[in-house]
Amino acid sequence: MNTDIHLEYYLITAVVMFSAGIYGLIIRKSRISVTVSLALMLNSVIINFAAFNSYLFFHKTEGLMVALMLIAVMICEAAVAIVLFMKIRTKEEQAKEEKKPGTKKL
Amino acid sequence: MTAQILFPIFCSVIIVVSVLAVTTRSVTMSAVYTSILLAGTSGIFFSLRLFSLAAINLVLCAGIVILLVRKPEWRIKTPLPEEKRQTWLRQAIAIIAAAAFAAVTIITIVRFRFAPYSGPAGDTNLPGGFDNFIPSLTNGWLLPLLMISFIIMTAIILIKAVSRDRETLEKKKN
Repeated sequence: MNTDIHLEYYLITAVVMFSAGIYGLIIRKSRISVTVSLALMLNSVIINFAAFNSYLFFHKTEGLMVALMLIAVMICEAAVAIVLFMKIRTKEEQAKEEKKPGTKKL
Repeated sequence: MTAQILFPIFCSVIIVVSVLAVTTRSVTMSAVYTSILLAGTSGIFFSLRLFSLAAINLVLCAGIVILLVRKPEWRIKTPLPEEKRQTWLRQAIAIIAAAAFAAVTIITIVRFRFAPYSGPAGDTNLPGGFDNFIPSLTNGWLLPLLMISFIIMTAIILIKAVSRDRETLEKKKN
């Protein structure tokens, strides 16, 4: 463990990331952007867990495991984002096909 | 010494990229910024000597990069239709909320003054290392919860596959 870097630096980095996530969550309307904001907030929480585990509870691994679980949640979130992304793509393609001359509108 | 030099770089990259990820209107750029953010986070885990978490984050980052490179049809350069210009009031509320949260948390952090760990030098039996990783996974309640997380992920992917099949079927019918 490198004791030259204080725990506060990790926490402040995580706080800034979490604040950016809050900003994105309030300001954004599209679901993908909201998912990205949530991923930011989750990432900051993971950094917090890892930093606290490494500095204050060095001989235990609970914080590390919770961080791992949060990464799994983040992967689920990424899967949801991919689904949304693909739906947008299909909608765009459908709209393009409808705009083409000679195509019937149902 | 290396960590002292690299840590501020990782921190600044993370802060800049996280702000850019929420302010950009392009979905593709947002994904690119998220991948850079994951790489920066893995650097922070390296500085904490949590190599397992760093490796997982790097794999995630690589996944996003591969997805963007291999699937060029997924790149949307134009902003989404629902992303219209925000009102000033909404922006002001968002900035105030984020700044208030940051201020309160930073004041709490500075007031508490957490003491850093001062363990024996050259201790190689680190919790983030791969030696302690598998035993702690199989210990107690952590394995079932992890299994549930991965089952949820598989379910999401399966739902997507099913919905895609239905969409193609409906298109064929039409």
